[in-house]
Amino acid sequence: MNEEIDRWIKYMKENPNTWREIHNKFIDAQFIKAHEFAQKILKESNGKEKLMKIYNIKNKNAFSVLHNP
Amino acid sequence: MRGTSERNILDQFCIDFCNIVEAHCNYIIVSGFVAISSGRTRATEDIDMIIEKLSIEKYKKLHEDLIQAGFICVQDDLVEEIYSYLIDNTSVRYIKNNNPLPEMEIKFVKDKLDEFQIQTRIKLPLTGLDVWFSSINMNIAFKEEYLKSEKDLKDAVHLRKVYPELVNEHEINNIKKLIKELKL
Repeated sequence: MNEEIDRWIKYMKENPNTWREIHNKFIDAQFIKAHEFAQKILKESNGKEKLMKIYNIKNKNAFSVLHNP
Repeated sequence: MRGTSERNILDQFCIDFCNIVEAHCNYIIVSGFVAISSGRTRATEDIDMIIEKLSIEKYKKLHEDLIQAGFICVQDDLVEEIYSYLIDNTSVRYIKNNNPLPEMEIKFVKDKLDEFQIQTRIKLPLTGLDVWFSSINMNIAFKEEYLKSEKDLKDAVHLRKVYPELVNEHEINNIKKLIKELKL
């Protein structure tokens, strides 16, 4: 059940100078994708409203910068 | 297994937020980000933070500093409204520079266990982050006894294996007893 955790921790221990770089790329990828997705949605008609629903945003001032870059 | 000084997006977001909160009150980062910043490879949309209960005047100052730094509360702009959520033990979420993710989800201390978490907060050199976390034993106990999802149980396994020197079974069991008394 936890083989992937064991494998990764073994890698961390054996590669103390490089695991963080791989980990950072992994973590960053989801936010880069989410940002690209948000930009695409904002180009659609009612894009801002759609994005607010997707991310459960109630504050109407959110996304003002993304909306008018 | 030392970390490096290089930051990912989540790390930088956390540092920026914590630097502001630090000037106003005691806080702790809890749950998923404790495991993720300690090397766990899984996705997350938010970082969970517990802060001391503040008066509305003090919270206003904190909120103003957050706004000044580019954060925005996704529930509301009106600080009185945001404060009412917190007083009702509902978390509020902040994003930065109008990026929908990541979010910082904050809530006030609501019981003795939360207070104890703040009293026993620690820094974790492996993360490379100069921010306060709830203790490893506390996180393991919450994930195994209270949260219990597959993701949380795997977070606990990861923390146990990355920080064997910090794991104290007696303490974890005592915290689990407190969780049963106060949270379940």
